[in-house]
Amino acid sequence: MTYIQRFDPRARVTFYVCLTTALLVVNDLRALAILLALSAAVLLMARLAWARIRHVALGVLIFIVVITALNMLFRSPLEAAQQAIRAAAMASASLAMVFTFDPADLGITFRRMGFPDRFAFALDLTVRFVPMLMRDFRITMDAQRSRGYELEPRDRSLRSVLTVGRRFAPLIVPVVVRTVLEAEDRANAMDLRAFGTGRRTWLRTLRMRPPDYVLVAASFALLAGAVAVRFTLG
Amino acid sequence: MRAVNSDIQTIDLSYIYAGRDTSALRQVSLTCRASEITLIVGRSGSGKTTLARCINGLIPHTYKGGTLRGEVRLADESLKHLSLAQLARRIGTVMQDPDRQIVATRVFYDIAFGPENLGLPRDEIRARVHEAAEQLHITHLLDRDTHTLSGGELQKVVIAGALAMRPRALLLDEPLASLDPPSARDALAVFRRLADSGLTVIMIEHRLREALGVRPEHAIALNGGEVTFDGAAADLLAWLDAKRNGHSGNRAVSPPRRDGGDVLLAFRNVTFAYPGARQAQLRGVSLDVRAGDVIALIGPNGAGKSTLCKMAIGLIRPQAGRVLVGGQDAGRTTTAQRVRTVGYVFQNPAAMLFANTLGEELAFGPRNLGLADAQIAARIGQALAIVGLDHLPLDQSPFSLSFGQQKRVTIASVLAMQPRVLILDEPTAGLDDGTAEELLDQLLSATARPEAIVMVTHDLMLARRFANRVVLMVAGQVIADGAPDDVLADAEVMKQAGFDPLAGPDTTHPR
Repeated sequence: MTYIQRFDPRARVTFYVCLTTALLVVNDLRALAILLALSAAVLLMARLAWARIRHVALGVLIFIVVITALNMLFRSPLEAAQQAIRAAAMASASLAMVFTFDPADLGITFRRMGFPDRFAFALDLTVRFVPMLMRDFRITMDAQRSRGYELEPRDRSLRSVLTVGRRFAPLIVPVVVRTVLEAEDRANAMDLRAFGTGRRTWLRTLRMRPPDYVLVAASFALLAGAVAVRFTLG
Repeated sequence: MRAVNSDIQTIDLSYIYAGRDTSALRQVSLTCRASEITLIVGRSGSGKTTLARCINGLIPHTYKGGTLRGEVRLADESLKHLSLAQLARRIGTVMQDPDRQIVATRVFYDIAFGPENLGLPRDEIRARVHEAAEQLHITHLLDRDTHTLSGGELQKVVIAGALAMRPRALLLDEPLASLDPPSARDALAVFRRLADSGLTVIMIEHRLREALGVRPEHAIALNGGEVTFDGAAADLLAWLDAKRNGHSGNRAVSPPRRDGGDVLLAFRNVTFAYPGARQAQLRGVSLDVRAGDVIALIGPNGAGKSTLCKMAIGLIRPQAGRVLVGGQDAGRTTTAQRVRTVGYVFQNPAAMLFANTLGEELAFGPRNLGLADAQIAARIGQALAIVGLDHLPLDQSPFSLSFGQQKRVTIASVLAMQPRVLILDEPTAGLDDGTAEELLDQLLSATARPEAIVMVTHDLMLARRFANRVVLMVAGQVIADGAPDDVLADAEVMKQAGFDPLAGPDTTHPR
């Protein structure tokens, strides 16, 4: 377990929200640089194996380079620098957050932060749902390709570009229809296990310790500092 | 041994769904006894699922607005005025697809889900989770992430989740549907044990031949919402046989003879591993598919059957070895070119159907091949005739069809491309025995059918009845390839696959 994972997930969510909000609030390059350093430190503390984050990290990197180039061209070097630092810091903080967060903690974290049972459980289900959606999509892609479907149209005329929506129908429709039908089964299965019938126990428990309170306090201080910087330095 | 009376009884149960005119159930009265397994059989649309929904309370609690008459009783108590939460503590339900019933990311929390919803104290929930896991011998799975489990393991987790509610009865709605033969056999042993421990077990299943392996005490057959058989399970087969002989129905084609025709599709020592996988999916597989072959490709889940089929149409490429399609090295062609020779029908119609009308759906493949409209229309007509759907109007929506008809539509949609080899992935999955056999009868006896057919299947009886060649795969290798009677009766190779050998003459094909 990394040092980050020893914190209560509520404290970590608070820190993440405050940090990303701070990044959006400040414009001053020095302040942004400090926030970037902080995010990078958090990412290092997450001790993520490069192989695990490679795909996402490279994607983010390319995104940052493109955005920076566009900003240099159409806006100013200052804005380009601001956006690049912001994006890099947010990506670092998010990678650290997402890849060290135990999905089993997601529901209880938001429940204990005051959200209702249904909302908290919806988050839990979403975590399960995304990979299943991806799997359905891959199967449908294979199924349609075996009917001679190619994503790249033979005909590259303007008209065929305009009908792009129709070209995707063979991929989108089966996945959507299936998801809707499965939602009925899923809701039935949850009903049959008495979901939403009364006050529920959350087996998993969370406990805030002194370091967690320190982290929460520091997070709010960081956000307050960012707001102060915005109003003094612009 | 009947400590508590937990019999489930339905009395004159009738139900009409909201917005329908016809009854899905008509005055169904039956009794399912404690410590027994009651097997409920019937074709699609016979009312099995509606009956299950009436017993577990989804009707009327979730499906509202219909007309329900009669009642369901558990021992001496009417279930009529109980809430879903109260019902859930009395009757546990396990549905078809375990994937859709898992709610948590970790096994422990999934089993705990029901008791959590009841608001029980934490210590009691933990005790119940462990108790249920022990009953199913899955304590070693408790800390695992649910998405890493196999289908068979997932189903045990779902059953444990139902048992953690400490129900008096267990309702199983097509529990074998997504399991391979070894997992299905395992599951049946679990059901037997649970009944022997005193639960009332109700099992709805249309894989009749396998379901009888659970040695049910009692069987009920439904047809058109009515009970047509209610008696000892031992008498069910005799009754079905008698009924079948009453009709002239049984026109099973015998498998066509193999004539050693041209090689249409060939795998030459192909190897494949998914990135990051611990074990290769295919390890040096060589196989020729010839004109005239009707191959049943069998093997446990994960043996590499689907991987091999995907390779045939080029969805994946071999890392070593070659695939020859129509004599040409498949490496030099695109998928779109290969599908002219090899057609692949996916298991679930839901993965394929997308169009507003049947005509559009069927034209999709041929149009992708670049055919002219007149040619497409002719091919659609032919394809529909082969699967026995030529009576359907082409402007009908494919989504308004029954599951069995949708399956036929997907087969027709691939046949319309006139491939020389047709690969069917689990052609009988989700179909009752009668419908499945009818479909294969029709397909195989059609004169315009593809020259070779490859069926990926878990159904060994089907392999024996319809194939003229059985290929058995285990752990990425072909371990047997030959005439059905030879391979299926070979105790040694079948055991390697975790299957029970199929010996003796084929005497039972109940419908």
